[in-house]
Amino acid sequence: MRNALHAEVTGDGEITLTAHLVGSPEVAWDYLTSSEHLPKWLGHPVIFDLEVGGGIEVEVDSGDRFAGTFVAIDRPRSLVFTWGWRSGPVDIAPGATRVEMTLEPSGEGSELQLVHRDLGEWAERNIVGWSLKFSRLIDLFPIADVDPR
Amino acid sequence: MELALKALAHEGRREILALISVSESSVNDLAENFPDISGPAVSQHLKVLREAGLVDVRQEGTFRYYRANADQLEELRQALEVFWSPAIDRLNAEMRKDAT
Repeated sequence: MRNALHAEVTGDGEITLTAHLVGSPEVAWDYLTSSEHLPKWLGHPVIFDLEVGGGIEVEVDSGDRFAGTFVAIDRPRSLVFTWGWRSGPVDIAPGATRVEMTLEPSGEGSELQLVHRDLGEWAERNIVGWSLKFSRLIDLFPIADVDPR
Repeated sequence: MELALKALAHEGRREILALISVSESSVNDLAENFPDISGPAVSQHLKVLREAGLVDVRQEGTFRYYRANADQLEELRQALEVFWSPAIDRLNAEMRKDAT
């Protein structure tokens, strides 16, 4: 079957998610980086200074904010930033972990891969979190041309 | 919400829901996509998902097509996100405080 979303622990404190998006990497990049699209799936971008060294701070549904700094930006192929929670009580401070998102052309659309490293005991919880976010992102793309087989 | 969580406690049902959330499907479509799950079992899983409000059905002639209920899924996502963020740790801390 067509696997729209896949998520697993891939190492010590490391998780990998892949999602198939029905849109080119250029289109998908906009969904990952524009203030118009981000609230539809990830959360409200309180800070989103898209340059190396720039800050990222996003408020999710619970009212909590995750925060970090952009490390590498290669439009429309990869986006790397550090990540942690701004609000407590948790021991995963802003910038303490690393998120790498990559986009590759795949068939008519793109494959989005997210690798989140240095999570320690937070690996399982972040699989839940990113899976929820990714399932919402997948829903934003049209499905008319999807063959269920 | 409780029915939805129970419905999702089964891996086969999660996979069925994942498929019909991207593509409306008939029982036959699903049986072809999940050769390890028998036709009657697929129908049973769909019944559980429908009772949980996660799946809607549309009748077309003699065929029935199943699709995920987007509103219900969104509600579930928002509820589950609490378990991801520090909100759940704050809730747990408050409950421990109340218990003492």
